[in-house]
Amino acid sequence: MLSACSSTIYASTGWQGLTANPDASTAYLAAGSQVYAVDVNTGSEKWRYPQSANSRINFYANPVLTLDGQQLLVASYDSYLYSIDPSTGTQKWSYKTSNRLIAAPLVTQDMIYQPSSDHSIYALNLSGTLVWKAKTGAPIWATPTVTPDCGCVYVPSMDHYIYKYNAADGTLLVKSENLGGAVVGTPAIGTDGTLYVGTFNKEMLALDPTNLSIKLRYSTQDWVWGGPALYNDVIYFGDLSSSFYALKTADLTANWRIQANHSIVSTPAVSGENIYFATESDTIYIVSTTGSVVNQKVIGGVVYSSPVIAGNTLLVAPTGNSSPLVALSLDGNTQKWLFTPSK
Amino acid sequence: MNIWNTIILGPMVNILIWIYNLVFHNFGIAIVIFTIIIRLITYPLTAQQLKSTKRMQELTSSKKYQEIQKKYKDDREKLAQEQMKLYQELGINPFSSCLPTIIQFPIMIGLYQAISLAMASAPIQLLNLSQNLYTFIPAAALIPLNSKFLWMNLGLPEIATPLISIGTFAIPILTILVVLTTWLQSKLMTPPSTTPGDQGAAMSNMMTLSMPVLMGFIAYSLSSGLALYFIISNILGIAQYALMGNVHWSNLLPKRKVAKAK
Repeated sequence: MLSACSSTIYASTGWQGLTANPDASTAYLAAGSQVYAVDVNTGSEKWRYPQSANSRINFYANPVLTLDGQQLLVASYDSYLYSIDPSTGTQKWSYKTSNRLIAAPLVTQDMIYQPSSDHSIYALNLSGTLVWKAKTGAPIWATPTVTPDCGCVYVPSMDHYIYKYNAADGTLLVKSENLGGAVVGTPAIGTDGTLYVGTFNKEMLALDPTNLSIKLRYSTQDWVWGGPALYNDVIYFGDLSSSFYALKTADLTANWRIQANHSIVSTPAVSGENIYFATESDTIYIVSTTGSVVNQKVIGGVVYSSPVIAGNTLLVAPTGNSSPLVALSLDGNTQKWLFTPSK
Repeated sequence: MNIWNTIILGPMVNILIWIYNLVFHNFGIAIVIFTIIIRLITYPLTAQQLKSTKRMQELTSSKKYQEIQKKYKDDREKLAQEQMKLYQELGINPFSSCLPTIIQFPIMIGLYQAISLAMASAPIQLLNLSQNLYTFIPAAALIPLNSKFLWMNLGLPEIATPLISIGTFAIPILTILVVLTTWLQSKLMTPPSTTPGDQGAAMSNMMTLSMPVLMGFIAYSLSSGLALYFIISNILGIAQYALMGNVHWSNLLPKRKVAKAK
């Protein structure tokens, strides 16, 4: 009775996750309750996992390829991390955490770091065996990040802190000062190791990598959901008020700011001199690094996930659209194909 | 933002979070206080419903009403006309006892949504919550809300974090309490039937059995925060009716069998 009369406000449906392999031949789309491998050139389906839709499975996270390209890792709302063979779509292994998985794992040469809504970060080896596990104070909805030479992993938690763990054994090295709000986006890391992280406290922060103290602050109009993209010493990100910002990493001052048509939830993609970002409505924006809007394209549905650039193709995965994957030319003017999964 | 969100959901979710901020960031206590507030606000409706039900009950057990029932038992149309005439004579609106229930229905739906939305256990819910928060709510400091209460995670079904398990079977304590309190509430509020073969009483009996099952199913399947609301609401409902002197404790006693006439 209640369920029938209620809207979808509390529904736990996921949103599309997307990635492409390094040679830009295959896109991997996590949509609804299945994962699809799609040919980037033609838009045809190569395989799907599982073969039949499973209502228990739902996705919020982007699929992630391991660095050797031998595994596709997909975090699911059913608490499982699935490892799939990227060439055949068969399952290799799965690992169950004790709560829902919202964020994609971080993959390094020999480890997988999977955050969970159970407040914990799970460090697995590439065979899916637990190496260590550490607990923060709240659900973790952001993919962790690393710097190449620190031997550490940075884990942003919704408890308003970022944790720095020893990547090998999970020893807590540093806990940040209180950031004032939850963090659900992956921090960007500057050339000097500075972390740039957006919070629900309507701020973009620059954190010192050694002690994770706040070095610089920039006030935004609303919550910052997605992590920033860093390109040529400038960070690009949006907030829920529809503002899109370009800030200098040196002092966190604004190069420019533009107003989009709806909330910005995902991390932008950068290619050449253009920045690509999606709004929560149905539009993909292409903006130059100088802040002028080069193109804006209405896609349809609701776009929560980041656009992906695969070679000379721009891939967008709208949620609630009959075609959950749309391929455009990089200038956004030409629609190359639509992927509509067969029933 | 649509009208439903503006009038019902928005105020409810903001009040719920405002209370949460006042009571040691404990969402379980916030739900309890919120349920009490809702019960107090809807008290005039409950009192009105009770009054109307009582008048209808007096009417249906009156001699005149019984005579009409008997006289027109084979002519439904005429029976309805005569009943309506009787209502008009006595100034009773037969629908006035239903109206308060109908008005309370959106409140119940709104509450359910508000609890689910405030718990925001998934990104889409949290995005929706962000669009529904008023500026006086210190959202950045509060989110994510602490969903732990006793052994429960209020945003998840109770069986996700069971208190007692037998093997792999998690015992749904909240569901059991929802079923019990719903049954108890229905049982205690139903006036004993004075008319043999009373169809209304038969229907009430059926509702007394089916409602607890339905509510139990909802409590089992959805978030434990909602199950907590059901339990508190049922207990408060019984207390409210008891204070108004309308609880039929005799319904809990086993009925005596009427000896068959030889």
